[in-house]
Amino acid sequence: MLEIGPIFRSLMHTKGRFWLVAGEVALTLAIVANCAMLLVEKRRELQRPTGLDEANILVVGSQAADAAFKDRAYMRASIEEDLRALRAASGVVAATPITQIPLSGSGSSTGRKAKGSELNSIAAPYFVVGRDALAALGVTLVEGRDFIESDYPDPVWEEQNTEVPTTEKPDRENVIVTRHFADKLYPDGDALGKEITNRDATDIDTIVGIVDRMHGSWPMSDVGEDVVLYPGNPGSDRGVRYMVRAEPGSIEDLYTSLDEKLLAINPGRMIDVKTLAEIKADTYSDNVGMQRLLGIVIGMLFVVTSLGIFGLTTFSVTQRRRQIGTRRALGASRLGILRYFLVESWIITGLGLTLGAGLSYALNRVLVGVADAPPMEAGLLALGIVIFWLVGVLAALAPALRSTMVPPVIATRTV
Amino acid sequence: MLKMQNVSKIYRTEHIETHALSDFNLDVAEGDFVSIMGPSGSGKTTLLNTIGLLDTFERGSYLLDGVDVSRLSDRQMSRIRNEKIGFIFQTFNLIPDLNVFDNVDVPLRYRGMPAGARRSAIEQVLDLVGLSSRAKHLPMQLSGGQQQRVAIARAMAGAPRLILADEPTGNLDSAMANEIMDLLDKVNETGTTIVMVTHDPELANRAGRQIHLLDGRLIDLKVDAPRPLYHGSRSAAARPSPAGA
Amino acid sequence: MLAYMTGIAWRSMRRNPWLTLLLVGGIALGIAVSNSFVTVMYIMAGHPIPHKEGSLFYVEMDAWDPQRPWDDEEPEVPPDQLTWMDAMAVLASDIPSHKVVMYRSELTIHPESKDIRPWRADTRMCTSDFFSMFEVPFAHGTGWGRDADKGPEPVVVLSFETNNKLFGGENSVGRTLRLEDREFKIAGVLAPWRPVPKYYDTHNGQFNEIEEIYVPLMWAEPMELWSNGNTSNWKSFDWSQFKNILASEAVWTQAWVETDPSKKEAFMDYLNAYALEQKKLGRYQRPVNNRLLTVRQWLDAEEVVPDEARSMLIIGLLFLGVCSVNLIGILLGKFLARAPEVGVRRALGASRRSVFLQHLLECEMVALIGGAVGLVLCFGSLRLIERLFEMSFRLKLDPLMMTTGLGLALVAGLIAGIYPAWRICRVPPALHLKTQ
Repeated sequence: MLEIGPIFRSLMHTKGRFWLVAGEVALTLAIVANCAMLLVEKRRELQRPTGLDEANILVVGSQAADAAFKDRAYMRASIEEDLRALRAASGVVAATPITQIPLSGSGSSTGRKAKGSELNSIAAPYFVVGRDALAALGVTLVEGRDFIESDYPDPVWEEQNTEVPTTEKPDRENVIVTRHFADKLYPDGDALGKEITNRDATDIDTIVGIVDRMHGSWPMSDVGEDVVLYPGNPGSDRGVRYMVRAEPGSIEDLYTSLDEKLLAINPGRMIDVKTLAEIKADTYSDNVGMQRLLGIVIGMLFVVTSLGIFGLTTFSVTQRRRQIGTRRALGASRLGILRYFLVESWIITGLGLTLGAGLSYALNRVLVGVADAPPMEAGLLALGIVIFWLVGVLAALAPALRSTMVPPVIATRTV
Repeated sequence: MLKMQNVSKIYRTEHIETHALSDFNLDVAEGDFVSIMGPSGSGKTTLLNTIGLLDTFERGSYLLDGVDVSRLSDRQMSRIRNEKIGFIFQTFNLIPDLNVFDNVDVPLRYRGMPAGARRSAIEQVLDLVGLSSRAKHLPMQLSGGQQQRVAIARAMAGAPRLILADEPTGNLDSAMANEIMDLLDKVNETGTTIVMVTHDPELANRAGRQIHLLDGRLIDLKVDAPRPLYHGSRSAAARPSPAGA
Repeated sequence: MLAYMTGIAWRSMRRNPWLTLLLVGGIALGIAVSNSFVTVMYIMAGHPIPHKEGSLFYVEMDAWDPQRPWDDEEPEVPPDQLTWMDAMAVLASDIPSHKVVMYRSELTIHPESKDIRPWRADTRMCTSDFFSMFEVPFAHGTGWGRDADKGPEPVVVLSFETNNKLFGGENSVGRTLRLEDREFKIAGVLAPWRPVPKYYDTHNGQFNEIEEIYVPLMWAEPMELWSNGNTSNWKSFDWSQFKNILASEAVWTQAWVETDPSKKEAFMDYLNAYALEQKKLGRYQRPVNNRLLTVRQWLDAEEVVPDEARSMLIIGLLFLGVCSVNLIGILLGKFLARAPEVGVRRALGASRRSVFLQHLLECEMVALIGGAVGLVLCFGSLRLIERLFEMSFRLKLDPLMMTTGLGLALVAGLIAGIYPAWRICRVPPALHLKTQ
């Protein structure tokens, strides 16, 4: 016996009480749902697999301090020495020199399109890597092959060659790309073996290998998962960077010992060692900060609204003491009174949440338009509604229980 | 119908002990129409509250329909209030957010009656009080007399065997008061026991039996023979005021 | 009358201290949250140099690829940096009273003291007018003069922090500092300076700290100092020779001019004439599209305010709304519990209007107290936001933001109080005067 009909009709007559709680619930749901949507989006962004083995990768930066590095031969010899030492170090799986650091927010990009295509070229973020690159990055090759020795240009020739490539005599290289990027240029999925070029086809790259996933320099951008790897000889008179992949468990020791080791080999430079995880955390620090902030706001909203519902329900019960007493006099048991107020609370909360669902979408449209927020997902909204409904019931529980304590004798009091 | 023996209701505060009812004895038979009179503070309302199981008492025994009420749980008392007793309050106590139909419906809902049975009971009783046309109105849209009639309808909807009326005409003018009393007479004719609290001697005289209270004690001045079922009109003959009131 | 009403309100607040505390707390929480986000937005979207809004301009010129615009989605927008050649053309003009060309680089500092290891310092390569145009404050010395630009002379200006790091904060003007393989003379040391946003160059982080050292622009060529900022290019060339970079179509420098509004047109004409000339030399194959952006236009174009700040502003204000609405119930209870007293007052001649105003006044008094408490909490919440986002600049509550906080509190008080005040003023006179 739920008295839904009379409760509903009575709510329609007492607009004030109904609209206050329902309106408050609706508004709060709208805000909570949108905050939750933002939070979920940020969380998803953070938790995407990067394709890299970032838990085990160290990024070593070597900055030249000695003028000797201006001599190319010296510089190259130094890099070779470093790589030998790194690869021989215990606990190291692989090491490679690289021009930019993935996940760091800093990088290089060029323009590429499918060979012969009439479309505009798209952004192609790239890294030039040395030998053993795929192993050092920890990425997974799913089609084609890794780089082989003949893919790498001779560094001396590179340095001395001043010819500018032309369409008759283009610059050709073999490259490895991510699947995400390959699909952009060859949507039919047949990119392996195909060529990609710059606009006037003076640079032609043949895709010899496809990696299933790798995040590039700007993981949160539209081109975050587009990467082209060029085989080459990274390093300049200013310095070089190495990606060093460690065996599981070895990264701690390497982190503390690598800079000394390298400085011992050549002290004419500055070495800094970071983990790729650190670098990623830095790039994502705003993301994490935002998640925490949103979490705090959502938490506060629940607390504030619970208190509000508690307050309004208490007030509403107090206003109706005489009515409660009358009902008891007419034969309602304490349970019956409890049931009445709980059902009333459910109906108000339920209607408020229905209103709130609409308001959530409306607010979402505003945020999408003004602040590029993510569009609302029905599943998340539904979850929010369920949680909120529970919160509403709990908040109204104490006043509802108090209402059962009103004695029937109140009905006959004349004050 | 009900039998009270040596019932005492005591209110205790830090310093004062008030005996609202003192060693009270009362016997009411089925079909009686009893009026309870007395000055302010004599304990009339307390007595009604006690009879109607709205309040508890400290000493004595009270048998309602042969059942000792002191053994009853809250749930059982609620049930009795719902099924056996009908209340008419001085301040009407209609629920302001509900319309007339829903107001009369309240006790029926607690009885767990199915919708169809409730509907016909409500329609019947609204017809009896002459308010069928106002079923959808809210209490604030009705006059005082109409509100009291709704309250009576509500009290009667479940066909209780005992009706307790607390100053049922206290807030009405004399014309309406007479109408209400006529209605109560009609109800009593169907065999329902009525216990009515009033301060108006004229109204009290319309009851078959009068009880006077003073300081929580019973002063029973005149006891008529139990009233037979009755078909003609009746003159409201004035009776002498109770001595010492 | 006002004093009388205030007295009643005050007494009413004191009668039920816990309730008043709850009300104050509710408003305080709402203000702490909403005013924080308002302040963040205010700081991020604030104009860093408002008195120069009409005289300081960022120069943009479109020498980009004839076959494809700089931005596919906004094809009428020119590149946001200049080529070296075009930057030199800006410097060559006499029309603006001040002009600067600059870019960000990295130079190795070799400190004299062996205790400090050499490091690659964040450097701004710029011409001498940089310091006056952007009103950069000095603790010691000054920038270099226009003659030093030409040489270029080996002079350097240190930031406050860099001076602390190298010289313990003493006045190091006149001393030498080795940068790369050359000795530079310290011409000046900046006072602490932190423009928010870093408007003169918003690339690579619009809320970053300023550069560590400042070196005359013309050292770019002799020392082959490449850019550490953004570089974009559409026309291939051989990068291995530095001089090729300077002659290329790669854009990597920034240029600002300062001119009084009457000369702005003349300067635009100069730029347009230059563009037409360059067309004849085979460059500038796109339609002439030179622009002078004010600071405000520049900040808007660069989308300096992050979207999240906008979202949080909206959410913060709505949060305040929720707090206010939540208080309505409490106020209703509080006011209507006093219905008897109000009935008496009405019977004694108080009008509905005065009862309404009385209660509204009480709400606003509570709101003001709540607002003050909220401002105190706001200091804390701004600190929290700084910490959450690892901000390196302070979020300060200036007088305007404090006033805004109190203003928001008054609005919240209004939202919370208007319905309860209306309900209580409708209590009929002497409802409870019956003795029965």
